[in-house]
Order: sequence, then structure tokens, then C-alpha cells
Amino acid sequence: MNTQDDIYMRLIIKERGHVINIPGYPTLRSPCKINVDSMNLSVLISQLKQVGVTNFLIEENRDLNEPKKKRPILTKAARVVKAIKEDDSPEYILQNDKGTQVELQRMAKQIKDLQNMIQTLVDKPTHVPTSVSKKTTPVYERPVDDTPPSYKKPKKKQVVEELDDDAFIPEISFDGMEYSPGDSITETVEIDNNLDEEISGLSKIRGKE
Amino acid sequence: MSDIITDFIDDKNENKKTSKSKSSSKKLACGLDIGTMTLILSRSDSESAIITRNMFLEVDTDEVPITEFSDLKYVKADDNTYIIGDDAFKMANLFNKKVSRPMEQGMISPNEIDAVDVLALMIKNMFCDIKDKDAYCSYSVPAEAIDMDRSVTYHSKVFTRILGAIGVNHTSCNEAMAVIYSECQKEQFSGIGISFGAGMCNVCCSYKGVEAFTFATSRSGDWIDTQASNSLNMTPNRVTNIKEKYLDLDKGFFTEKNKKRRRVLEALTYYYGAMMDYTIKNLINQFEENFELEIDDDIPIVIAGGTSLIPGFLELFKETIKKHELPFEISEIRMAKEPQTAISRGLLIKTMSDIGLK
Repeated sequence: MNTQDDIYMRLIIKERGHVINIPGYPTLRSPCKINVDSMNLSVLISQLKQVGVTNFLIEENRDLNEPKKKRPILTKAARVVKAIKEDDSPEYILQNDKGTQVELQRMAKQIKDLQNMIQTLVDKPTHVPTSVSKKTTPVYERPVDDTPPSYKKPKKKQVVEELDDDAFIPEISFDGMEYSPGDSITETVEIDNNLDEEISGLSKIRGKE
Repeated sequence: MSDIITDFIDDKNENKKTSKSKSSSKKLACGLDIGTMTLILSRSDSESAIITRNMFLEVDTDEVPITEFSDLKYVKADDNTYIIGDDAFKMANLFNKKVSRPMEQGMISPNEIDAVDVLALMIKNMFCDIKDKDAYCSYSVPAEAIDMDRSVTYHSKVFTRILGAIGVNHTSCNEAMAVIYSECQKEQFSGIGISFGAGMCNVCCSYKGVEAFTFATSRSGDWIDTQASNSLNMTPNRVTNIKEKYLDLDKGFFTEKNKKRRRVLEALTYYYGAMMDYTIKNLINQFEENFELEIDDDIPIVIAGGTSLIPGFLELFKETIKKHELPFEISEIRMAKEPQTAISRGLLIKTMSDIGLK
């Protein structure tokens, strides 16, 4: 027997090319398959007839022996309050939208199947040939590398600018130039000119000594 | 050693091997720091570094006759006359004009048509007479800037041509690496060199004399001046003037009585902090992306460059770096012994090591 959660009603239209507007649902284009368990069956059928759909199928998995469960009767005011309070909340959708519930159950089942499959693969012993009927020659033998893989930060590619030897460089000519008479344009500052240690240290480290 | 010498380009003879035949006694090694604000040359035959302010001011000789320039340093190129060096800076401040700069943001300015001529003249003047000498020079080039879409290739090639025209064998070297050559001998040339120049901030991480990575940012001295001048609606060289005369990051700006000046100093202090923060963040990023070696020893950070000359710079840098978690261990943060000339000194060390001169 189906549980309350499994019950659904599904409309299937296989004929192509119909554009169907069912109140409360987005506009559909056939062929389509849609859960309509919240719809009144007669309203649905008349709606379909209005748009000229005659070839359709409504599937229901409710146990025919079981008496149809009556929906709780709500006053108009109560319905409005319910709609405002609950219609949009995820909890409400999960509890009341059969289509979503069925979809969730289907997904849960798929996840469970996947888990079982993975478990089977893990538990299965690796394949060990019991007898060698043919001598096989490896086409490519990869050396076994026990070292754990290292992850290097990808190096940012530097844009290497190609030197253009033909680039324009102005000619330098001192013809037609003259300095002011007298002082040089420069000034001088005393510096520490004892560079022997630095020069020999640098030459040594650069392998030039 | 011959293979070392051939690293240098000998444009004057277009034959690299000719330099081998010359006697070592006539060899002259040089290090030329080509900065946005100053050009500095260190020579093996001198105990002084030669400095020229890298700027000029074009003057109309119809309006101001050349006889008026008796005390000024100027050059004439074709029909144009330029006041150059410090005099240009002083004159521009006097007349509230904007001084022309042959370089901007660490490279030759594309906005100044006379930039290359003026630079060539300045550099020629700095080398003086080298006709009877076999001169070798390493000159500084910036790294590719991470926040600017300009190549250093053109810049580097122009200086190749200028030095070739003067008759100097030359090779280029990263500016921040020169700081390492100058200051990190005791750490076997391992460390992080930062050159806070006028146009760019250059950073280099070196491990045992090998460049691990280099990068540059466009936020340095000029950026600070521009930001401060934009905030206060002043010309950038006025701000530079106040910065060079009055800014002390140790003392702060509160003690300054002149309100306008106090506001400039306040803005400058703020932008100094912002520039340091930006540099440190980028250093961390570059280190994480490019450095794959495990370093056992702690490494120093060495600071040089004209922008770092302001009193209290080192302390503010140390305070700023404390706010960040670094991916490497620091042994110390120190200033170069001579922050302004450290780059040219480092370049001189490299040249002398290259050509085997002591």
C-alpha cells in the first residue's frame, strides 16, 4: 500500500505543439509531464479541453481500495492566512508539496544506491590473476613514485617584451651646442671611496676572482 | 677577464675587443646613477661624486638677453637656450614657473622634445675630458613598473647611445641592485634594496649577488609632491621646495607656526606614509609570487635614494612595516651609509668588479 507520502497525480501529454495554461502552474509546451495532485481533476480536464488537448493521460498512484482522504475544510479567511503564512516557506513546500516530496525521495534513493555501489567497490578484493596464460609485455612502464605529490603555486606568466632593435632612438650630436662660460654645471659631494672589500667580495661571489 | 670587459658596449669603435689591448692604468671605472631628479656620477679616479640636478628651464633670449645669465649655468642648443641644473630650479621658483624635466617617473620624458639633447649635454659635462682614458661605466636603469604602462627599453637605449657618443664603454644595471652592491657586502650581497627616487621607487631582492626579482612603482618623491600640490592647489616645485627645506618626519608638522606651510607639511607627511605602505604591500606580493627559495638567514632591508633623505624617514618606514606580516625574516632595516650617492657607488663597485680594477 502506498503511504501518504508516495501519493501523486501526474498529467502526461504526449502530443506535441500545445501551449497549455493551467492555473497555478507556469505556461507549458507539450509534450510534457507535470504533477497536478493539488489540482481539482474536473477543473484540470476542462482547462485542457479549452486549449484543445484531447489526448492526455492522468496518472495516479493512489490505492483505489483506499478511500480518498478528505482535505481539511478551511474557511476562506483561514485559507488566506495559511497562504500568507506558509505558502512560500520551504518547510511548507516540503510538508505539503507532494511533487517536491516525491522528487526528494527519488534523489535520496539515488544517493543511497550510489553509496551502496561505492561500498561494493571498496569491499571488492583487487583482481589477482590466478594463472598466467599469456606473457604480456608492458607497453609503457611508469616508475613507481612514492613521494607525495607536491603542489606548486602556479607561476604568474610574465609578459616578456621583445626588444625591437629597429625602434627609433634619436641620434645624439653635440654639434651646435655650447655651454655657459665659467663654472661647470655640476657640484661635488665627498663619498666613501674605499671600495676594496666590496669589489673583492662581489668578484668572489660572482666567480670572477 | 676579457669576457667580462666584453659585457660593456664599446660604441665608439664598434669593436668590443679593442678595449682589451689598452693598459689597465688608463682604465677609468664609473657608476652613473640616472635619476629623475639628479644625475650622479662616481668615478674610480675621484673621491667625490659629481651631482647635477636633472632639470632645465627654456628661456627666450629675445626677452632676456644672454648677458643677464652671467652667473647662471646654461647651454645653447641650436636656437634654444636652457638654464640647467640647480639654477633652473631656483629661477623657476623665483618666477613661479614649472621647471622642465628631461625625465619623469624614472624614464626619459616623452613630453619634452629637448629632453635627450639636454641629458646628453649634462652627462657629457659630468664626464669631462676622457679622451685619453679607457672609460667603463655602469648606468642605472629602473625595473619595469608594476603600475605604469611604459617600457624601459627605449630609455635604456637612449642612454646607450648618449654614452656611446661620449665615448664610454657602458652596461646597464638595475638601480635597486646597485644599492645591494653598495651596502650589503657583509651579508654576501643578499638583501632587499629599495631606492626611493624622485620618479620611481625601485625594489630589488638579491640572494648572494643574484637578482631574485625586481620591480618598480610610480609612487615616490614626485608622486608625493603632486598629490600634496593637487590637494592644496599649489605648483609641485613649491611643494618640493618646502619639503626639502622644512619637512622632518620625526618632528611632525605641529611645531610649524606658518599655517600654509604647516598644511603642506601635513599633506606631505600623510603621502609619505601612503607611499611606504604601497611599497611594502607590493614587496610582499612580489615576494610571494616570485621568490621560491627558502632563505635560512634573515635578510636586511636597505633604503637609499633622494626621497629617503628626509629626517625621520627610516623611523616612519619601520613603523609602517610593523603593520604588515612579511613572508621573510628581516635582520635589520637600515639606511644606506650615503643614501643619495649609494646607487652610483654600487654601480662603481660593479664596474670595477667587472673590469678587474682595484
